[in-house]
Amino acid sequence: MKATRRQLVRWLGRGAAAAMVSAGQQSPGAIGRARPKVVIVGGGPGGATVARYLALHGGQLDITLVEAKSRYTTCFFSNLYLGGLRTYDSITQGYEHLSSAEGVAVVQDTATALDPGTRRLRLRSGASLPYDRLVIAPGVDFRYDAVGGYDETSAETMPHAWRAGTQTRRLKQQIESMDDGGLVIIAPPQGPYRCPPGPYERASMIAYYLKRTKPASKILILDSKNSFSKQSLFLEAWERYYAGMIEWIPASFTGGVKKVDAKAYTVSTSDETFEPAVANIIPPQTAGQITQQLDLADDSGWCPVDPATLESRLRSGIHLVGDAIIPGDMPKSAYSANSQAKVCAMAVASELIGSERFPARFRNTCWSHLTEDDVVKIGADYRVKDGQIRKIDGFVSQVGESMERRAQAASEARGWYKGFVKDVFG
Amino acid sequence: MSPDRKDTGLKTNPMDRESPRSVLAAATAHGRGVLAMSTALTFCVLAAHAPGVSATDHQLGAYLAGECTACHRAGAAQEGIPSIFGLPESAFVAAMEAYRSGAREAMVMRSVAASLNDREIRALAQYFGTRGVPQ
Repeated sequence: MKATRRQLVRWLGRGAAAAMVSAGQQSPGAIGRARPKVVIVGGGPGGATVARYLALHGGQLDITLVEAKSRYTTCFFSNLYLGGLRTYDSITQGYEHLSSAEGVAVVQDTATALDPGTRRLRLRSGASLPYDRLVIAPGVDFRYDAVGGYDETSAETMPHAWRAGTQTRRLKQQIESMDDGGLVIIAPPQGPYRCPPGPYERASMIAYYLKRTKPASKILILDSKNSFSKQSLFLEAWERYYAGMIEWIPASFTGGVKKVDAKAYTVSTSDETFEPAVANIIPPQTAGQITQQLDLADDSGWCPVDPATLESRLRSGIHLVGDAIIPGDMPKSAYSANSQAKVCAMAVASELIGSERFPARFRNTCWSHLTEDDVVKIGADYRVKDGQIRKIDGFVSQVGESMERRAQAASEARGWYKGFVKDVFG
Repeated sequence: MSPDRKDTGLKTNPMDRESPRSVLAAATAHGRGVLAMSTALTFCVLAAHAPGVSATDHQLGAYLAGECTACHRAGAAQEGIPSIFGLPESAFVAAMEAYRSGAREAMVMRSVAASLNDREIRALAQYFGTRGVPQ
């Protein structure tokens, strides 16, 4: 059946198909049946990009995006909000363009279950959506089994703020209301987690704010790891800009945070207890919860996929992109999710409407802010090798670079945000 | 001129410093006389697909362009990121070749250019050349 339809699409030819599309938004799929349906769960950088890039096929596909939130606050650049360099509104994006200009049906709801027999996705509201292909882009969820006393309730007062939203605002309020001379604890998790340099950019941005307003304050990073992304660049910057303010303690000294008491507001390692003014506990992570419900995650808590198509290795017909997947050499980042989404959209469109497919290529680039005008970057190019996503070539900023170069990277980062959210949300 | 920058002998080229100015401006300042001439000619064929470009190459360009639009927005240049929509094909190709050879230094663009072969660069040049005008 499937092969026959694809053959028909190919036989119709691109000229004929294109003419039909421009004439009346008809499509080859419309012959004898409705347009093929793609349902996408999750409206972050992964899911929204899949929707946009499928929509580029000029109405040949019926695309529905299911997202619980009406607006999306980006994790990327949320540290700049904490540093006072961005407003909350400026890092919050809407779905209006996707729904009005690009023809994507945006449904504000939550996926709950699947009926693979009839290919329908059930939603919390009670509705169910039929699909020919399903794409799941749920981001991360948090594991509350690593730090004693840290759960969803204590996360309200000791916010992780690792999914941008109310917790991000709360963390900023706490930093703003603390007294000069107070202690901020940041507890980064073991990997893999979303945005590997994120906790260290966060320390830099909080210090950027405190240096101007409460210069006697301290930031203590109680790490669960012994090394981290862009480490030499961060350590150089902390010495240069925030000497005596930021202290990083690797896991080899303390073993990381073992226990918290949210009521008493204390944070403990195996042999010391701190009384911080602000505790930013970032728990270890796992693929978004829906992947457990739909049996898409393996024992690692993450989702294995065929990197050439981003199709689940556990359930056919379902694709995954972004933080939830096992990404080979790629880091978990919005940029990675956006890159994977384009490969996924190409594979899904090829399957459903017979459009051209090319070998998958992936890229990540990440800018980290040390100050407003001192920004470092890291990036790499990836391909599929032996069924895995493998790094081909990469680059990273260097210790001791000129300030001119760093300021140019800062300007580039600001430009990237504008371009990137346009690519994701339209 | 910072001491850590590779001396390319192209000191007037703003792209050496990863400047936000447009790639077109950089490309025409590049010192290859043929560029300035071809720029004017290329504008004449902006609206049409370049002769000899197959449908597959056009779709290849569209696919590869996704890697560019993660940073480069349609329409106006953003701060720090030049506009590449509507860039004449010859200027696009010259810029990518300069990044690939290292004649122009820009960490991200050098990595992007190194990942593309000649056919892919031509497909991209054709794709962006027929979309919009340089700002």
